Amino acid sequence: MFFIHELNRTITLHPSYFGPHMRDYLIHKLHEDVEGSCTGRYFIICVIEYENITLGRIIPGKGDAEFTITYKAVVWRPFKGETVDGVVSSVNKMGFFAEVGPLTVFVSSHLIPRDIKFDPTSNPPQFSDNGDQIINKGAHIRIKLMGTRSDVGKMHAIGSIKEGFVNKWRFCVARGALGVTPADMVEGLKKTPQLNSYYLVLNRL
Amino acid sequence: MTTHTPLTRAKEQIHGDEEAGSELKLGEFQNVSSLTLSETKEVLTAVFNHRREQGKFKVPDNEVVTKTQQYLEVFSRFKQRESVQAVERILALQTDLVAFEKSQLGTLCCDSSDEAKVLIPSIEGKKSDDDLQELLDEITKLRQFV
Repeated sequence: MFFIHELNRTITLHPSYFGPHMRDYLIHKLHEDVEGSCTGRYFIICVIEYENITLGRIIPGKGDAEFTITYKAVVWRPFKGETVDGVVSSVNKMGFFAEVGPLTVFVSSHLIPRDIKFDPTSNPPQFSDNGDQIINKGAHIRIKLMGTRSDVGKMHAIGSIKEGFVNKWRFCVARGALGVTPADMVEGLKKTPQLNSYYLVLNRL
Repeated sequence: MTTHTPLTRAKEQIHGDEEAGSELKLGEFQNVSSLTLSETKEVLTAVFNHRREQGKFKVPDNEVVTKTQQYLEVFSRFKQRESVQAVERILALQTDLVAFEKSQLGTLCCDSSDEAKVLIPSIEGKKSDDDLQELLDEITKLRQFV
């Protein structure tokens, strides 16, 4: 989920940067440090505006000055239990990897509905139910995030497409390369009223 | 005068139990304004264009930002600025839903209220099926104007 979050960052400047363009340099350094970074819990995409840049405090014993910048940024934070859309990037017999924005989510074969099985004979490898539900590289898929793990500078997540409820639609958007538009998805929806789980598994149009 | 530094530290926040299940426990993001994918795409496009015009600050050029922009291009449902603003207006009127739920509705674009309740479990109980279906129909109407 994307948020506009208010954050703080402390930047230390060497005295050689004190001058008329010091503030611009601070903002430039902020962008460089923070944009595109991952804190382990969320990704910071882009800085939008700066609320306040404090006066520089000279560190005793050194000549450097410390500034604290309060800024607003677009941030992406995945939550456990959140439903997200993604694009499948690789498939193997243990499951498949899907890219949801900057995060790669792994969906294990245990969390894929039983009727969609791994098909090793096809090239490229894919998961399919030998009917019209196919999960291969480039397919759009709707995933429920089951858990996230943080690392320094990185995040990993696992997801599931198995949540099954009676009376829920089951669709899967077939290869993005075919240029499936939302209107096509709605049409496909009307044609395939299979009432199983709620993922988007739409027919190849 | 310098600002007074606090003598005690703030209570340490416990991380690790955030989830968006039938109860929204968003940790530090509990009261932060959220965005639908289409809104995010508009914001990023506006910020980057402004930076390119001004010429003072560079547009970020790393993997995370590029992947995010591609993702937004593919999955944002409302391509026109007017439809994005119209959806925002409709969602802003819903006082019984939290920001997270509103943004999820605008992002996932469900067709039926059952689907919405399964994909966004915390909505269960907050709105009647008919009201929810009405809201979804209004959003779907705007989606056709692509």
